[in-house]
Amino acid sequence: MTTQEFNTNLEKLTGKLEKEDSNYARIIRAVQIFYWIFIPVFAGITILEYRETHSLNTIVSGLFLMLAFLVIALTFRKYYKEYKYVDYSLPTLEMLKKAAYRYQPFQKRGLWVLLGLAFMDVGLTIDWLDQNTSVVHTQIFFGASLLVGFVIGLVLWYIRYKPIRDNALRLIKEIEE
Amino acid sequence: MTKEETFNSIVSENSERIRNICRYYNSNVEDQKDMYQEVLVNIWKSLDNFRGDSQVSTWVYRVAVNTSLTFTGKAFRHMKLMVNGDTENLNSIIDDENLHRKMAEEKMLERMQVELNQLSVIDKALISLMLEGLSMKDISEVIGITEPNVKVKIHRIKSQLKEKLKGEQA
Repeated sequence: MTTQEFNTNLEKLTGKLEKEDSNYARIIRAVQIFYWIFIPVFAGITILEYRETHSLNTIVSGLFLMLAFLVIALTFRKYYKEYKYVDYSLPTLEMLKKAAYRYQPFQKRGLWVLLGLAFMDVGLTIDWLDQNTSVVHTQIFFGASLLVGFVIGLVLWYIRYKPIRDNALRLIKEIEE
Repeated sequence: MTKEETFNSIVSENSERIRNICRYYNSNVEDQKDMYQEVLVNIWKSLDNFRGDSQVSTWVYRVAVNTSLTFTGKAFRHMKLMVNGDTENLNSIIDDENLHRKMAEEKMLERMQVELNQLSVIDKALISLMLEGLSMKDISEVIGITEPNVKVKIHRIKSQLKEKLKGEQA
């Protein structure tokens, strides 16, 4: 390959990279819109509902659902940033260890998502109590939905991310041997 | 200096290094170009994290080697380490007086090429950095292991290669 062939048009490439950065910024902005606009709107709806029903349950369930959205949105933002901007300038061993951690199916910080889901469960349970749905039925519905989501997530992880993690672990072992 | 200016400066000063790493791992020109592009993308992405703790060249090598390990253009385990007869530091792999002379022969180079491609991915990365003329300290900073560990690993690779090439000679 000649130098000429390798001489990439940097301006063009930089434009492409900046576009990627701006895509990232757009998604972050979308998430910010999610919790700066959607949550207050949801709060408004809750207040309107309360004025109709005068039920304390409406307020409590609304608060829990808003908290759930907030926790999940913030966790998503953190995850996205980490996955999108992998630092390739770290020493190889450190980069591989971080990759192995990123692609493990269960992580400590996943507890934040569980907290968000727990808030959602409480919010839905209280809200549906007002519609005469029993706690047991709500739990069965919520639990089943979670189980379906969990299984789909696990299958996706197994197909897409487990091979990446296995490779990273193999390379770590090789370097540390 | 803006991010774009810093990026352009780093790339223009280190393009030869990046090209070399790409050449080591790809015989196909198109694959070399793809990997080169991917290294540049990763330099851009990692630029915000550059604190100047290490030399720019070491930092660039890190990005290039890490990209080679995760190169999405093709499965890295199928990558081949490509060395040329004019590679400056090729003789440093086999530092044996008799073998030095024989290494000049093209046939030996071909054999060595075959043996190099039997190496594991990490060993290939170590050898490619050594062929680039990096010191043991620099290699340790790129890979993230101690300098003595790098020396042990490279010594082991050299010994294995020497044994294999001597075995073929006999």
